[in-house]
Amino acid sequence: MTRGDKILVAVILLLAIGCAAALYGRFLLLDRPRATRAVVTVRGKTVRVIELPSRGIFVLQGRSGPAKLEVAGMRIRMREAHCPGGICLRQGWIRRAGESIICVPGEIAIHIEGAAMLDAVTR
Amino acid sequence: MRHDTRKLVFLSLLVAMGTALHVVEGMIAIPLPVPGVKLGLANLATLLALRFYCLRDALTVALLRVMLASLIGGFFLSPGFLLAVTGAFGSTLIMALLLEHTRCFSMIGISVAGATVHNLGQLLAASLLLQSGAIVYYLPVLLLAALPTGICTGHLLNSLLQSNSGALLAFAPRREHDNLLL
Amino acid sequence: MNSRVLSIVAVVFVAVVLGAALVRHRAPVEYAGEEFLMDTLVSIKAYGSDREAVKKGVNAAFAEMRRIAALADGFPKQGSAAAEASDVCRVNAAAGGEPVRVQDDTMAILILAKKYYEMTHGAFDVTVGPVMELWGFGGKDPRVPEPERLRAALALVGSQDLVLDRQRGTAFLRRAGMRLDLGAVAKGYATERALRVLQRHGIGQALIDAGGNIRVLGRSPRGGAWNIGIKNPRKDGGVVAVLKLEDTSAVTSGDYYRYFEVAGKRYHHILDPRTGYPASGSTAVTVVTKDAGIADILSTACFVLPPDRALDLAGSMVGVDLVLIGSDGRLRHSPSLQDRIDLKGDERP
Repeated sequence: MTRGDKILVAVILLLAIGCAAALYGRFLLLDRPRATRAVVTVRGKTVRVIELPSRGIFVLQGRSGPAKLEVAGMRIRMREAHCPGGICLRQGWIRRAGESIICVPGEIAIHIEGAAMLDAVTR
Repeated sequence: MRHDTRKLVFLSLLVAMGTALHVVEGMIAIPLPVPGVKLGLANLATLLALRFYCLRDALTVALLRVMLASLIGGFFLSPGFLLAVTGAFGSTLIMALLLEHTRCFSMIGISVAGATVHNLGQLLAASLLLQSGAIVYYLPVLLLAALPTGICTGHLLNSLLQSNSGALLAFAPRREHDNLLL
Repeated sequence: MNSRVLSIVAVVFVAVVLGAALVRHRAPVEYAGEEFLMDTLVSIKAYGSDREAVKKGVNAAFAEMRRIAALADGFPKQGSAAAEASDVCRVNAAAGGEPVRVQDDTMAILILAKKYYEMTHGAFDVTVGPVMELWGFGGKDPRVPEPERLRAALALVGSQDLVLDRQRGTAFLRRAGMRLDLGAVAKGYATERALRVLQRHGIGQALIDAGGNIRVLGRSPRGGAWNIGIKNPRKDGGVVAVLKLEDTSAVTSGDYYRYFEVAGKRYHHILDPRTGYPASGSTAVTVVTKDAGIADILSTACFVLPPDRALDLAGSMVGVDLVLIGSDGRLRHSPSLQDRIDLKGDERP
C-alpha cells in the first residue's frame, strides 16, 4: 500500500464514522422513540399501516411478485419474497423506530415509525 | 490486426470473468444487516481493462458484465439492474480518473475509490428509485464496507499483475503503457 | 479520440444523476417563529424553497394575528390605546346604548359566533362574558360565584341580544351589562387568517400551533400527513391518539387548561352558557375540520354539549370530525376519522 492508499482509506474511514455519528447519533444519545407502527409502501404508495404490536402475515404485491411480511409482536421481517437476491429476506427482523426493510427489486419499503414523531400536540 | 484480435480476446475474457464473479458474488451472503454489500470482485475485470486499455473499453467490460449477469440472474432492466449499472458506471469513471491523473495510488487505493463510488452510486440510485431519503441511513455502513472489499480486490490485482502469469494475462498487451487510458 | 467525447458524456451522466438526486432530496427550508399572542404561545413553522420568502410570510402571518388579537382583546386597561383599538371593548362599553362600528374581521367573527350559537341552541355563546368575569378565570383568583350573583350574570347572557348589521358594519349588545368574550373563537379565527397570509406568500407547507390549536397546511415536510397528537387530559406529556392530518385544523377544548379545585371538585374555564357552571360531560374534545375558526368554536360547543349530542352534531356537519374523551375516560371519535386516527391503547387516560 502506498502512502496515498493509506490516506484514502483513512479519509473514507473518517467519512464513514462522521456520517455514522451524524445519522445514528441521535438514536444512540437520546432515547429512541418507541415503535408504534409499521408503514408499508409499495412503489411509493402506502399500502398498509400496521399498528404495533401485532401478529400475522401480510401479503404484499410487489413489483417482483407477491411477498409475505411477517409481524410478530414488535418485530417485523420479510418472510417470503421472489425478488432476485432476496436481500430483504436476509435482513431478518427489524423492531426499532426508524429501522426499515427495503426491497429494491420489489419496490417495497417498510418503515417502523415511533411515538415521538409528532409534529405538534393539540391540547 | 493482430493487436485487435488480442484485445478482443482479452476484453472478452474480462467480460466472462467479471460476469462469473458478479453472479457468484450475488450468491454469497455477507453477514451484515445491510442489503447490497458485495465483495466487489467483479470489479477486478473492470480494473484490468482500465489497466491495459482505456476508459471506453473498461466501461464496455463493466456494462456488458452487469448486463450479462443480470440476464443470467433474471433481473435485466429491473430496479436492481439500474442500481448495478449506476454503481459500475460511477466506479469505472472514478478509477479511470485516478489511474490517469494521479500517481500516488496503487491498485489498492484505486480499487477502494472504485468500491466507494460504486456503493455511493447504488445508494443514490436506490434513493431515487424508492423516492425515499431513509435509505441514507445505509451510507456509513456502505462506506465502511467499501474499505475491506476494495482493499481485497486491489491486493488480488496487485499480486495478479506481479505474478504476470495465468491464462488471462497471456492475452494482455506486452507494453502496458502504450495505449493506456483516455 | 472518442474517449474524450465519452468522458464528457460520462461526466454529464454523473452530473445529471447527482443533480436529480439533489433536486429530489433538497429538503424544503424551514422557518419557524414564536410569539406570545392572545394569552398563549403561538408558533408558526413554514416551509418553502426560499428562506427569505418564507420568513417574510411567517412575519406577515404573525402581524395578521396581532392585528386580530388587538380587535378581540377583552381586557385591556380602561381608557388605554388598546381599549380604543379593541372592537370587543368598544362594543362592551356601548352595551345597552348604541351600535358600534367594527372592523370587517370582528364582524366576521361575530357572524360566525352567532351562527353557531343558533346551531347549538346556546351551547356556544360569545355573550358569556358577564359569567366568565364572575368566575374570574382570566385573573389570578378564580372562585365559585355565589348563586345569586351567578343568576344575575346569567340573565345578561344570550346572543339573541347581539345585533349585527352587516350593511352598516355595526355590532350592538341590546342590554346594558352584556359583555362579549371572544376567547373561544378569536384564536381559531386569527389562526385561519394567518394561514391565508402564509398561502398568499406562496407557502404550501406550514404548521401553526396557537397554544394547542393546530392548523396544518399541505403535507408535512417529511412527506405525507402531519402527525398531530391529542394530549392525554390526565397525564402531562402523554398522548391518547395521533391524528394524521393534511391541510386541516385540530382544536381541543379540555377541562385541564385553566381550572381550580375546591373541596376536591374541579372547576374549569369552559362554562355552559346556559347554566353558568363548568360543563361536565367531557374531559377533552378535539374537533378536526378545515377551518381553524370553526374548529375553535365547535370544540367549545361540543365540550359543552353532552357527548352523544356532540357526536351527533359533528356527524350532521360535512367535514367535521370529533375525538371526544368523556368524563368516564372513554374515548370516542367520529367514524369518518377511522383512517386518520391512531389510537394509543396503552395510554388511555
